[in-house]
Amino acid sequence: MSYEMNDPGLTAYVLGELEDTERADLETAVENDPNLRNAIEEIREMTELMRAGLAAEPTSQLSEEQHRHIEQTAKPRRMNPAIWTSIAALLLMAMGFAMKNQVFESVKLTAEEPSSSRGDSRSKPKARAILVPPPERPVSHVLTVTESEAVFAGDATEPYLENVSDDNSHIKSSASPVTEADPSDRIAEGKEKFVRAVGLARFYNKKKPMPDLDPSAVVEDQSHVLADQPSNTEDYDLVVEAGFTAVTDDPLATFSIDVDTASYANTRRYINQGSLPPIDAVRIEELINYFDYADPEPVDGRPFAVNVELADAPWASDHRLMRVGIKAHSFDDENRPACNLVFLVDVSGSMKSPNKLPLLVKSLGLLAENLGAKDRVTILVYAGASGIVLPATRGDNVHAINGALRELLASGSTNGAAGIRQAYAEAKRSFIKGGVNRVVLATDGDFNVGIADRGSLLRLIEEEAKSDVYLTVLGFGMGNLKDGTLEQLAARGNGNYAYIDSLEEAQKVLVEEAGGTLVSVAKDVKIQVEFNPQEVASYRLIGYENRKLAHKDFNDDSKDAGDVGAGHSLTVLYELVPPRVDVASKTGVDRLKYQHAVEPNDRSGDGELLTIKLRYKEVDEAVSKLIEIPVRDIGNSLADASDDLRFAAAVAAFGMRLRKSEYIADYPLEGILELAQESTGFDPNGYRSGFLDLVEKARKLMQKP
Amino acid sequence: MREKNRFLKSALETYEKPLLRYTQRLLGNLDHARDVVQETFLQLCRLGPPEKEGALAAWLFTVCRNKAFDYLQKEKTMVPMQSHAEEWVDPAPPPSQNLESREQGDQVLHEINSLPDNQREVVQLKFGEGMSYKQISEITGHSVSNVGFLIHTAVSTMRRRLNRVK
Repeated sequence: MSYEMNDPGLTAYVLGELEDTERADLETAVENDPNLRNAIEEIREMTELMRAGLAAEPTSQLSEEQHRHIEQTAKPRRMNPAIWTSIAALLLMAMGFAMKNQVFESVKLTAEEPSSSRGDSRSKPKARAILVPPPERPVSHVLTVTESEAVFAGDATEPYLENVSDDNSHIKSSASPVTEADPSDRIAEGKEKFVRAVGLARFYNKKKPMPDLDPSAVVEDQSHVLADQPSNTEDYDLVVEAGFTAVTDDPLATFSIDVDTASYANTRRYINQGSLPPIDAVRIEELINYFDYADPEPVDGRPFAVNVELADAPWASDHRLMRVGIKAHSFDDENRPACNLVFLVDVSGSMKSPNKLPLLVKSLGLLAENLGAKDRVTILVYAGASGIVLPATRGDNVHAINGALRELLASGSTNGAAGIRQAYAEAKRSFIKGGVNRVVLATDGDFNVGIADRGSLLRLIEEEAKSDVYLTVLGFGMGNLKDGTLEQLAARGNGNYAYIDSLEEAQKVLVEEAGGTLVSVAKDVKIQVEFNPQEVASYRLIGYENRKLAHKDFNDDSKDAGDVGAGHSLTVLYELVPPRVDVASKTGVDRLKYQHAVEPNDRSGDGELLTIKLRYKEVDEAVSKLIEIPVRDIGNSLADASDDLRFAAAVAAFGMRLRKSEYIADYPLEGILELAQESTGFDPNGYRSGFLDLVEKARKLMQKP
Repeated sequence: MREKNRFLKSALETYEKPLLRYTQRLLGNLDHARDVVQETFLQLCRLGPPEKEGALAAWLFTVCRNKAFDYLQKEKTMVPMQSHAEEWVDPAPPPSQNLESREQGDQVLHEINSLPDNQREVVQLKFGEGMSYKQISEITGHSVSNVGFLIHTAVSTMRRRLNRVK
């Protein structure tokens, strides 16, 4: 399909208004046509200028007299039950907030006014809301909402919500298959909730007003949501919290480890700026793994040691919480392998602000200070054009490295793909055998030229990662941080992702934990847990939602998974429900009609709770090794548990509260604070104390009316 | 009474500024825009929230639009039509911005205000209020593809004009 330069589809594409098929067509056309690419880039720049220009315009308000007049006109009047109805619907729909846009895709609302009423100030548009099935999606419920059944109060917030993700919707929907499966479930679930909301609203319409609902409270709640959505283009992937799975339904849980920590730094940035983070910006495993834990290092020559501990779950005392601690072997500086680092620096216009490029220059400077004669540094920039700023240079040539860093200037658009290709080529050119070969990508992730759709970008990274060159992604800045893109890039590129919001954070990631950030000790680390149905009724993995693997991939060495860096501490938490507790009520799955899903065998009677199986590859090997750890529960209470378990539990609980998880109910932030205060024992760098401050700040934010 | 006032207060908080921005963009005059937005909220008071009709946002923008066009209609019969761009006063930029981006921002606003009425309107709803083509179509009555065409034309015009200035 060919496109004219003045096709309105180009603008619609930039604004994320194209249907999937049209978008795919256009992306194909763009790849083959540099002129088209230019046109799109120009449109994108123009739309950003227009948005910025309008946003910078000061907004006026009505005069005080006008306000008074309006308020006086609001005469006392009994509210119509229909309003309660719409509020009830709104409240119920607030639960399905994330998928609201998709749900309301299907709402057609027409407003018309009789032409004769022009000039009549009391005229009122007639609007009808008709729910029609969304295109190309199977729907089991088709509803017609008649004029007597108002349920669209929730729609009121929609135009403003859209602002947040507006021109990135095209990136989102081309996400990898792994993440794609979940949102559709979520949409279906949202539809369910929506339908339930409508059903309930009808019920109340016929009965009496809902007594417990304060309409103004709901409306206020809604404006609070609006206030929480900063007008920016930050982009987060949907994270759907995993629920409980009955062991009889699936006795195996399989996932890849995740060593990223970006979500914690990003969450901290939000809270320090006085707002709670968007739910999808909180990835609980990254919060937990931000901290160091006191687990002992391996002594048996393996790349890491595994420690397991169980205690009561703080937020549900009849559940057990299992902490699996993985501690990777660390290097002292002399024994550290030689590093061949290729810094790929985003110097596009969007990197201009002080918390981006200038912070980035200082951060990379910190990293370079710790390099020596055996190391190599190459610096590349990418913007509209990409290029080498510093050819491969010895790591102890601080003068040359810092000089090159200081000269970096931000301008132009972002051609990430071309930069990435070139960086991998450079890394291969100065490859150090037996050493660490790594591309360090520093960006806000706002790729907007060349391959801008995420699917192709991920495939490119995946292809390049087949060489023994690893990837570190450093995220900078705010306002247009493409968190989801960066996290996925790191995951596909055998890498890690950290978010740098300050020089202190740079110090942590690039100096204190340089070993872990740069030197991998094991790759493709996968975990599979088999639960014993006699001892565990159901289980729930906390976090790691976007790291799930198919069970069969565990033994498949061609399937990629996360890498562990030197000295890294990793924590995995499972919430387990013992058999005495009712299972059906936790999982929501009916008993099977035709079979017993899992038949316990003789081994199930020997008291083991579960077996943890861990697969990993040594960095220079292609065949994986297996570690098996049978786990028994000695029945520790929470008070008996180690500081590490209790602190990790506090961080997990905090993450769940931020994510408004249904699995933590009303466990108070005060409880979290207390739990964390009592377990700050092992805190070599003061990060745990920093967590206490953060919880306190979040507590105040949550209390705010 | 209390509930009603609180509802209204929250509606004002949420929609007063967006409606005012939108109306000002349509009329090019702050005082007249204020009158229109006041009238819109008075109507909300008199008739109550859109009980049967659905979304509050769409309702408010539609009422506001009708009143703004009523106003323009009246104005047309009294005074000769003039370009709204001429009576537009470029607002003082916030002090935090640097000079370069401020000038660019002013230039962009000036060009937006010089667009034809129907383009200026959809540009405000799209880039000022972040609405989708579909939502804009609901408020303006233009078809979705027409909204897309108007926005594309506006963006193209802006590109041409700003490039020429450069």
